[in-house]
Formats: sequence, C-alpha cells, structure tokens
Amino acid sequence: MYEILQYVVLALQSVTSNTGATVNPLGRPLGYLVIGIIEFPVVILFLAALLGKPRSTKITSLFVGWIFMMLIVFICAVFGLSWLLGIFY
Amino acid sequence: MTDEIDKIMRPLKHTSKEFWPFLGGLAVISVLGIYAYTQQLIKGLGVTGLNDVTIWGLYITNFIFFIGISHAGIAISAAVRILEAKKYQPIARIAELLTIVSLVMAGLSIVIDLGRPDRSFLLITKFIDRFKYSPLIWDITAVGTYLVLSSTYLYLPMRRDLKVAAERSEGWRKTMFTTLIPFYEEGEEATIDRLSFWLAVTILPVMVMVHTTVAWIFSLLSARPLWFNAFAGPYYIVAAVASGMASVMAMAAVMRKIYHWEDIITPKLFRGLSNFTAITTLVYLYMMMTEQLGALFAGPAGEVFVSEAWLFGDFATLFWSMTTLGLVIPFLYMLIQAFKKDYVNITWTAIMSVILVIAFWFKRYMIIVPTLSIGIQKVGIYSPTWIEIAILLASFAIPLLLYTILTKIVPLIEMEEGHHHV
Repeated sequence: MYEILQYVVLALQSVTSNTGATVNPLGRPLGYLVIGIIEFPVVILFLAALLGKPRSTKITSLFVGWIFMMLIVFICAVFGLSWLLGIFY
Repeated sequence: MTDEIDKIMRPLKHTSKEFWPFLGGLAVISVLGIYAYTQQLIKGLGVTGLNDVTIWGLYITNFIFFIGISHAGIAISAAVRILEAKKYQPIARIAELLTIVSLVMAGLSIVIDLGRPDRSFLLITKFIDRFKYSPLIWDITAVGTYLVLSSTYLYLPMRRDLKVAAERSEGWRKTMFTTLIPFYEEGEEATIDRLSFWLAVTILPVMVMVHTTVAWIFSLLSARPLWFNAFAGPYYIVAAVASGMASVMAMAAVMRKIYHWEDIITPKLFRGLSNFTAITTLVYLYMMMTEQLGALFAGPAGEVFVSEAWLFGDFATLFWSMTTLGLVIPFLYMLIQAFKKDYVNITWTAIMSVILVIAFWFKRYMIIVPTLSIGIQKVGIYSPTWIEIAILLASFAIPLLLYTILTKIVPLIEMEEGHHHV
C-alpha cells in the first residue's frame, strides 16, 4: 500500500515540478500542467459533442468545422497582422 | 408573437437618423487612432511615454481591462443555460457580443504594445518551445481558446434566429441572413441546445483560466513590487466579473432605451445584475485592502515603497479618487438599492455602472504604472503622449464601432425568449 502511495506521489511530482527547481529537477515544466488545464475542457466538449444524444451528423460536422475554422481564422489573423505591420519595417 | 419578433428585429430592419452620425463619429476617432499608431510604427515606441523602466502603460492597461470586460458576457450567458436563469436570457446575446468585441480589442492591445508587432507570428511558431515556461504563451493559448469557443457559443444558438430573420426579410437582408446559416435543417435545435449546454459548461473553466493566466503574466515576476502575489488569479477574476457585469448593465440600459425594449429587458433583470455587481465590488474592495495591508505591514522594502506611493504618495489622488468615487459610491448605491424591495432605478444603475467600469480601468492602470515607474528604479512618473491618448480613444471607439455594426447583422435578443413573453 505504501509503495502504491509513493508511486502516486512520484507521478504527481513529475507532473507539477519545474525543471528549474532544485527539488525533482527531472519533472515536467509547469507549462504542461497549465496548458493541460486550459485545453482539458475542450477535450470534454469534443467528447460530449461526438458521443452525446440527440445527435445529428450534419450539425456535429458543422460544429467541429466551425471550431476548426475559427482556429484557422485566429492563426491567419496573427500571421496576416504580422505581414501587414511588417510593411512599416 | 409577431409583434414581439418584429420588436426584436427592429435594429436589423430600421436605422434611425442618429445611427449614421454616431457611426461616423466612431469611425473618425478610430481613423485618428490608426493614424497615431502608424506614427508609432514608423518612429518606434520612442513616440510614447514608455521607456526602458516603465515598459508598459496605457496599452497593457487596456489589455487587462478588455479581457475583464469579456468575462461577463459568457458568464451571464452560461448561467442562463446551466442554472436555467431564464430571467437573464434577454441580455445574454448583448453580453456575448460584448465578449467577442472585447476579446478582439484585448488581442489588438498586445500587438499595439509591441515594439516589433510584425513579429507577432512568433507567438504561434515558437509555441512548442515556449509554452513550457512562458505565462504570456499560456495567456495567448487561453485567450485564443476562449475566443474560438465564445464565437461558437454565439453562433450556434443564433442560427434559429437568423432563420426567422431570413424568413421575415426581403432583398439583400434575406440573402445575408440565409448566407449566415449554411446547412440549416429543420429540427436542428435539439442538437444545438445540447451542444450549447456543453459549450457553456466548458467555457466557464476556460474563462477562469484566461484571467488567471493574465494575472500570472504579472504575478510570476517576483522582482516587481505588488505584482508577486499568490491570490492574483482570483483577485483579477473578481475585478473582471465586477467590471464585466457593470459594462453589460450599461450596454443593456442603452439598448433598452434606443430600441424601446422596456417590456423585454425588465427592471427585475437590472436589479439582479446590480446586486451581483455590488457583491463582487465589495469582495474586490476587501481583496484590495488585504493586499495593501500585507504590503504595508510586513512587505519587502519595494512593496512598502509602492504601496506608500499608492496610498500617500504620487499616486494617492488617483488611488483614492478611484476607490471612493469609482468603487465605494457605486457599491453603496447598488447596496442601498438592493435593500429597497422591488426597487431599481435603471438610469442611475447604468450611470453607476459606467463609473464602476471607468474606475476599474484606472485600477488596472494603478496595477501597472506605479510598480514599473517607481518600483524598481525611480525614473519619473510615466506620462502618456498624444499618440497613446489617440490610440486609447480609438481602442474604445473600435469595439464600439464593431458592436454597432453587429447590431445590424445579429438579432440582439434570442427570439425564443421573445416567444416566452407573448
């Protein structure tokens, strides 16, 4: 039982510790945890969208398509703005 | 039912004679701001009041402010779905639109602040390298996710309203509304309702992370007095909710007046929002007091120094004006109103909301400027130039302009709610 507990503690430490820290320097950087927390709800959302009921293939495709389209618009906007403002340099 | 829908569709079909001068005024301010920004692009950040020590000023103040405003929209709308708080449904979309335009302006505020904005794309190309350690990348990820989910949350439930709008319109308006609802199928509402519910559930934690990561941009810098703070996340979230709710109240009051939606956006709704704003403002005042007490009583030398500048020094006039006139008086007004049974004065509530929003803008200014301009090395008080002021004014005009244009494209009230009223 104690060994299991120790294993769980080590696993948690590897997730939460910072590579810059003196304690457990081999752990993952905190960014993994933060990005994981930010994006975890999106995973839940996709699972709920794809598996839940009532379901319509057309609307689910529209939903997933819209999300990807907005993501591409966001990325393109950043690159587009960079290009546009680059004219001044 | 027809009357109710016609009333909701009024902004889409009719344009008052005041609309164009208002839009024109906003456009002029926006163009002046864009001109000022081109001057900044050509001559560099030297044309601003920023320097090597005070590296952030009005632009980053705007960034935090607009991120804060963006919170209320989805908070209200998600509450309507998750808690079935139908009472607030008439203002849900007004609030959602506010979220979208505020988020866009928040993103632009970061770009405006950059010395080489043409390198903004590095945020994406260097993502894999930097996300492990950079709070700025965390924040951009959270804001991007929030913007994508918010726009989805706005669009999906709107499809049924756009369908009704298309059926009741003619000419180019009919074509526009029809184009906005590709792949529409009868009975899609049940699936959309389910998806919207899950969107509401998932957007809320993302919303919390957005402002938490904004707070971390500051609070993980241990050398900056008054920024290094364990409760910065909740502290920023409370400010965001209070200022966001206040801005939604102000916007809803204006829309109610302009479009004669007195029987749709009811006084009861303002009363609820006002009470909630009063509570969050009180919590914020409490947190502010705790922060200052800790800094003054046992803080490191830098913390004491900046805190004294806030309370008794160079920034005291701004701090006390903001706290008393901007936070305490609106709070007291809303508190007194809360104790009067079934009473709400919408005009005064809207005025107090605007004061509160302005005060929260100055609070964000107080977070940034004193710490940078005197916290490490005293280089003199930061003083914005005309270029920054022009860009600041445009930063308010551009989202307002966007919002005003959207009122002509998007039904501002969910028509389903309109049916409930009949």
